[in-house]
Amino acid sequence: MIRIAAVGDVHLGEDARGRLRPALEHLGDHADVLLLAGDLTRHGALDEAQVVADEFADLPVPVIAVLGNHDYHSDKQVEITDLLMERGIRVLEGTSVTLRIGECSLGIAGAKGFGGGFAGKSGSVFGEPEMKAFVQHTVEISDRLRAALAELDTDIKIALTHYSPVADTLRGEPPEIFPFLGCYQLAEAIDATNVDLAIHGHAHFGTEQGVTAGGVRVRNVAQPVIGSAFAVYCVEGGQ
Amino acid sequence: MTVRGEHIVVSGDVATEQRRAEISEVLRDVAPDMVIHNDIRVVCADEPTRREELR
Repeated sequence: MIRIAAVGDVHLGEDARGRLRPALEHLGDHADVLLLAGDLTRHGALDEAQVVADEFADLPVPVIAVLGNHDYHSDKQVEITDLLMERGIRVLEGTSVTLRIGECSLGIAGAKGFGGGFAGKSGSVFGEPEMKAFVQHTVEISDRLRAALAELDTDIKIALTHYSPVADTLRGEPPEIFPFLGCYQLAEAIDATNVDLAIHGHAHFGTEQGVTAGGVRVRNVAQPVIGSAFAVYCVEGGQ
Repeated sequence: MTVRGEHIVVSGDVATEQRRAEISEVLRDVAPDMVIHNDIRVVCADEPTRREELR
């Protein structure tokens, strides 16, 4: 069994420096790995990303992240990724990482994801160029996540995104904005690739627990939802 | 944000008490004659007290 800590939407900046660090100092007592589910900054500024790097560097467990929409706001997502990677925080975007924890292999594939909506209430690649571009972005990111997940051959497989793969974990959010909070294509990628657990953030007013149509457990770890510095999930392989 | 007559109610979550206070300041600046109710919560950053076992 592997202990997975996860949190998203920490929205750090200089004014919040050190806010999570006291709880993170004991992370090794709780977990074998820490996953960050995007929206690590407020506005995607490099000085905010520096605070993120200081907050999550040099922890006793590996730290794996995806970026969120806030982290893209200043068009510095490449620089933010580089900054975090230099501090040992592995940032995934249509890519994966494999860790060995004791006798168990853990594979994590991640991508930011995007909106688009869910069954019966979703956008499609149709109509105006802007609408086609929007949904095509959703499709391309989901396809990259699927490919990264398919490459993993590990005892436990985790999907890490910022946007939600299911509507379940959006309960509490206004239904009108569900298409901007996630998309069904992410769940299709997850269901096609024997994933054990899907982790996401983004939905501050949502709920923690959900499940895909294929039966994969989904957890919304947006910090306002979990109400702590991080949540911990213990996962056995081959579910 | 919800406006009811002369009352403004804001809700949601922020990372720090300072950010919560800044929202009240901005609202007082732009709507000095309104009654401000700041129901925004500061998100807890404590260690978790539970863990979930997924079997």
